[in-house]
Amino acid sequence: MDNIFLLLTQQPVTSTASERYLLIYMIGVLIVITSLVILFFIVFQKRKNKLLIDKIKQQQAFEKELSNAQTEIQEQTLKNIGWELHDNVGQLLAAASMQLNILKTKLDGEALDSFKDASNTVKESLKEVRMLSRSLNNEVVLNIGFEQSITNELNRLKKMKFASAELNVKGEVKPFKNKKHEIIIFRILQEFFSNTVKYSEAKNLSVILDYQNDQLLITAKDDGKGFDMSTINKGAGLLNMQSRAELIKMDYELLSQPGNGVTLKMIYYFND
Amino acid sequence: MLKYLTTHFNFVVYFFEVLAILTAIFTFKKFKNTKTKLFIYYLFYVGFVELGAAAITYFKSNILIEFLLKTGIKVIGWFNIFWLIGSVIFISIYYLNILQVRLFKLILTWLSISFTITSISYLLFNLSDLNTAHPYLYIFFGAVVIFTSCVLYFLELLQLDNLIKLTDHFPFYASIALFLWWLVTSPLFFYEIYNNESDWDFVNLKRRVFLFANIFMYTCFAIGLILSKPQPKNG
Repeated sequence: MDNIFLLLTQQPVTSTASERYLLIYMIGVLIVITSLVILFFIVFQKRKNKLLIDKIKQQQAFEKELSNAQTEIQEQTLKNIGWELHDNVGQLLAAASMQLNILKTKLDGEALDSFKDASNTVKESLKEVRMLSRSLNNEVVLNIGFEQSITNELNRLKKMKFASAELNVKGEVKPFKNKKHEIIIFRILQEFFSNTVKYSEAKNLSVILDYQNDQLLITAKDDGKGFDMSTINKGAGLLNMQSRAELIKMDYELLSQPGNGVTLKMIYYFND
Repeated sequence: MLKYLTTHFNFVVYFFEVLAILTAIFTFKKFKNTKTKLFIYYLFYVGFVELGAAAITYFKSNILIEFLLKTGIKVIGWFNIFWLIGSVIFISIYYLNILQVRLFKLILTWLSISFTITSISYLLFNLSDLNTAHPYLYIFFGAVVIFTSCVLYFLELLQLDNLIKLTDHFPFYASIALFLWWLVTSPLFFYEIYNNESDWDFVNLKRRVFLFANIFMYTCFAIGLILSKPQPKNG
């Protein structure tokens, strides 16, 4: 009996079918549970991504709204200044001019010549103030048209300090679908001009509007002293130009090198 | 078909391993600047381990292998050192690199350090057992390290507010494959006593389980490497 028992224990143990099935079943269960967990993860992550995207979109919408509001406030401020210039300073200058005209009749000889000069200067100032007030008021800009506004602005600047300030229009002029965009582009150009006046010491200024099929290429150029793109501290003006361009989804590029002037290139897409 | 696959299971597995390694080579450029590079190194390491094991089994006459055999190592010992210990350490290093949450990193660091110390000291104190069996310690502690790595990765996915497309994210494929492989193969070691020539039913079952687990794992790696896109932070 003992011998038989020894023989049995020495024999290698073998698995029973039920043990093997249990193993297979267990593995099957593990696979099913893991698959379920993985499925849960995929669904969860998709849902999370959706929520995150929604959040980002909301943020973007909010920022767009914010910068729209900023632009509107700026426009309103400029308009108010324009009105003030027109109604207040303009009226005073007009009154001064009228009074000078009345005075003129009472003068003669040498005094009259220098008086005429003074009177002309007052008239010029009045004209200047009126033009400036017009360029500040977006309704006027819309009313007289995009090209005409740029021409007016360039004329005004030419009188101030430039040898030449020209607008060159190529292609067939197309109206803007969104009139607000007109104003924004005009304001960017105004900012560019004001930088040119303030810093560039340029003699010539030119703007090219190139109307193509579904886009408008805008190039503004001066021949001033330029600046180094890498070292320049971007002030509010430069940043404003860029953010305004982004607001209406324009391609925006400002190029400059010391001694070579500044070039502003923008592409406006009519379809957007 | 199943019978053929079972009898030649080694070569079928080699085929899938080579497939994964080749994919890794071809996609290396894509992941050159990401953490996935580490995983590709791991695949090369797997190739090295398998090549070593195959050499010990099939090319005993080679001089280099003869030298290796003279050190007394056998296939079981080779797998103990390089697979059960080495690859677990390798994988935990990979996960340490992709995890971002500090607490998770800390947990995994301590776990992998304790695994390394425990398993190496066990190996040194029981050198005589090296070539006779796969100690439970390596298998289960190793499985715990792998599971923890994967679970921490999944937890991090739940926690972080990152916009991740899972199908573009290689660690996701790697985690599924590793997690499932260790989950499915670990229980087999409980049945190790049946793994002898008088119980072919069990031997074949074990081979099939390993075969399909390996096929799944390496295919998952290969698909992951092809489909995923390099991620700036942890992919």
